[in-house]
Amino acid sequence: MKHAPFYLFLLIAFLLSACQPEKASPMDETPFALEVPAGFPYPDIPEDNALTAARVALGKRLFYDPILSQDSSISCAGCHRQALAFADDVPVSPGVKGRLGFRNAPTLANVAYLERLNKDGGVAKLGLQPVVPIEDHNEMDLLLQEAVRRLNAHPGYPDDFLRAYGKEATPFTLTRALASFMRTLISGNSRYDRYINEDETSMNELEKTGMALFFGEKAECGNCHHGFNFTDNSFRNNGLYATYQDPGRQRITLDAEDIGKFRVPTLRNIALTAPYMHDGSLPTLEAVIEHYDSGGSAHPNKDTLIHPLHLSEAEKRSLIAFLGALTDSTFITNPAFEKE
Amino acid sequence: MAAFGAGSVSFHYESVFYLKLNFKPNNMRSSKFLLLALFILTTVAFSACNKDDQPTPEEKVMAGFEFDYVVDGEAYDTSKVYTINGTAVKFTIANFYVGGITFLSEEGVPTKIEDKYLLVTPGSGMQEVGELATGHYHMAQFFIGVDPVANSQTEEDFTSRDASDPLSLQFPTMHWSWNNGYKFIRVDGKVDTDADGVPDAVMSFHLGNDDMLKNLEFIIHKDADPGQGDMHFEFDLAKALEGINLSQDYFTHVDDFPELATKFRDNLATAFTYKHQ
Repeated sequence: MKHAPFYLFLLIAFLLSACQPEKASPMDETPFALEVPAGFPYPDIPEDNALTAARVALGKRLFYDPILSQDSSISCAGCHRQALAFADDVPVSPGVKGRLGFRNAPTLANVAYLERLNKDGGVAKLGLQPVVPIEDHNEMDLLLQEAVRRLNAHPGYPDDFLRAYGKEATPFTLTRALASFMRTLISGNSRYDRYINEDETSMNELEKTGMALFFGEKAECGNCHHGFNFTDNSFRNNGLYATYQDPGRQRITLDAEDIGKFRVPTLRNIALTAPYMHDGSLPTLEAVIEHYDSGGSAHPNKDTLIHPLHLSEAEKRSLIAFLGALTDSTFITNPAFEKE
Repeated sequence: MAAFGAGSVSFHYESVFYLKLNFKPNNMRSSKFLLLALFILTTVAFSACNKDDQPTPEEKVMAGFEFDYVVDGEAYDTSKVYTINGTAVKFTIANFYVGGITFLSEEGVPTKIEDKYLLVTPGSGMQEVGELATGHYHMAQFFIGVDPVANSQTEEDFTSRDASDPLSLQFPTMHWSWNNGYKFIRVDGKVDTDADGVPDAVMSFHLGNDDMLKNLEFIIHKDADPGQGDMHFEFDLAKALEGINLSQDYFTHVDDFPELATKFRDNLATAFTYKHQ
């Protein structure tokens, strides 16, 4: 019994230590308040990469940082410029050392909703998409391992990664942070959106005529470009060429029936994303309308919807006017997307 | 009371004496302890007896695969220039995935090693495949590549897998940078394109895409006995390149030259052989 006080002390000390709060996690799990326009669904967010403010902030920092290119000369934003709806204004954007690939940089607007990424659909999820530009020889040409090494040796990034993911930069946290930022690039506040949300004054008569033509049976643009994001997410051959240097979807499937098929792009902000087509070969919307009006080149895989439309000049002007009404000026000026 | 020894042994024997000799009301606390000790001892003893009545578990043996690299019978050596189909060739990388590993008994009963992938390199040596019941196995099957589900990377992918997983990020890379999916096999090096005997042009045979999966099977007649689970295969790079004019056709990443990739894939059927011990 003479040791009883000592054992009592130990018991109390143990109980008190059990009441201590756990060591605070360095991770900030504050959710990101993603605003979704009227008529848009909430995008699917993968369970392993919940959308948090810290992840979005980290993703934005990485998006604008040339550290992810081999010679630290270009960033994601070099080819995806906010003023151009996160697209570029050249047929093929130069990568490190001026190297050129063979495809036009797509808009990142509403990329959160795409079922497959890249023009050929070769990437199954947004979380893995950053691997392509970072590692591609003609783009940023940096192995993920080296990118991660640089980030972990950087004076600022380790804390950002700890806050966002509770751990250092890894191939997973790097790609998922970029995906988190890209998921926030939602565009749905064009004059067309305001019009369909009962502000009839937001579109003029020419644009309304173009809209009717766009969704009508003569032009049939809406057969492929429909829904809130103006795409059916399919892969189609639009008759751009009789012979394709870039096989498109066939590159992934190896199926000859997929030669010349590319993902149907969103038309949101289309007036800002010239030049057009998978290779940026059509410089203006006028050229695009002319292409579809002509019925395109003969190709065994050409979509049955591509045939001569016999549009009048006035109809062509109205279609182009309607496409202009899909520009979301708040998207391209949103400070939340700007470099800090 | 210490007559039966010292230290830890003496405690046991002392306890027994207490039980036998000192079981008195004024020593109740010690007695309770001794009763408990006896109970545990008895339980352990009985359980030890029961053990003999249990059926003997099936004996298992750890199977292992090792791939010995050769070039037309010569040992693989990255510093050596080989002549294959009349063209001087030097190798730098020759890595591939092995999956879908299945062993078949004489009666054709399969034992599949689930979810097991090996990343085989010239230096990977003997790699554990999985446990097999001891006995005789007539055949081994596996494929070179990655199954379509894992290859799609829609769920787990090479960035999310644990670093110990062969399907995680590797160096040299075993994933494509322009699409999701793995390189099933990659053979890199240089070939001589101007007939001066000096390999000068980059050779690259990178096969991926579900169509490029190559199923292989081997008669092994293997007695998998304890300590005898290792199996050896030979990979002859010259046979993988057989029938290919390497001075002209030396680069395929499948999509850019699918015919060459298909030829290489088909050659894998003869490039791998089982080495009976």
